[in-house]
Amino acid sequence: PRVNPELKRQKLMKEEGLSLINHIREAEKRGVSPEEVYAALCMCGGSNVNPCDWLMSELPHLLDEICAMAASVQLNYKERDSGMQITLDRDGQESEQISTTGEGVKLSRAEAKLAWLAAGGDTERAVKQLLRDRQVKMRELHSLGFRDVAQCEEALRQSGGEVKGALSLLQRPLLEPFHQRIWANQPEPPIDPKH
Amino acid sequence: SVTISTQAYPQDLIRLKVGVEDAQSEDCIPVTVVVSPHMTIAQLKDKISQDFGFHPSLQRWVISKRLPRDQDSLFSHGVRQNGDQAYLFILSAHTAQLTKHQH
Repeated sequence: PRVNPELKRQKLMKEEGLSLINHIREAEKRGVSPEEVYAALCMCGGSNVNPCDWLMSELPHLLDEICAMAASVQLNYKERDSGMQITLDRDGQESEQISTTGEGVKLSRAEAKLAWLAAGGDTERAVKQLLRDRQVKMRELHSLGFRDVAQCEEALRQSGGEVKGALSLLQRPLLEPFHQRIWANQPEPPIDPKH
Repeated sequence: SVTISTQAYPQDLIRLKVGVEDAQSEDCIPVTVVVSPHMTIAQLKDKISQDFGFHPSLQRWVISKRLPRDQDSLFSHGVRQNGDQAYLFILSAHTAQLTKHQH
């Protein structure tokens, strides 16, 4: 007998959904978010690897790889009238990259993970997302008056990509003189002649 | 007085079968939700939040083998007609980092 294609579609919809739901339920028991499971399944979909196990053993390597891929994309920072423009060129003129941008972008695993999750586990899209996110943060720091690209990159790396954290790292040196003055040049306590 | 033309409402409402689950549930609890396939996941989360009181941040929707994003429409994930199936996973407030105050 011919199978009604509409019923077949709905049956598949049900089965596939249930399979993902079961992974999500299993993951929540292990403290893993649905987004992480979903992205992991995209990476190890065909194989029989448990997505939670994969996240534990393989994800850190993948995140490093994503950072390296992003860093290999050439970044050119250019000052434009309203803030900073960054143009991306894939690979090529590597010698020029070193002379123009020094060490290039410094990315953290934390940022790579956010980008990878936002891209639903797609590595290529994660790299693009990672650079886009970083570009937005660099613009924000730039608009706050921090114009030294290398310094901003390093601060963002140290803060795991958080602008708030990078800002306090960048501003700490500005307040350092106050720290020093707290202890320096203290006048002698006045002597009270009545005692 | 102002009256709203009935044509302003979408005409293409369908009955979506939804299996509701959480980490503790043994089987999914089936419910039926009347939706428009052109609704976004964000709108669906709001509807479920209003109708059943689950904060949008606790809701994870699953359609076929996908975890759709908030801006995606149901239609773009293949929801077409009556009897189509989706799943709603309810996160624990702890996992979603939701406080009672926000809820």
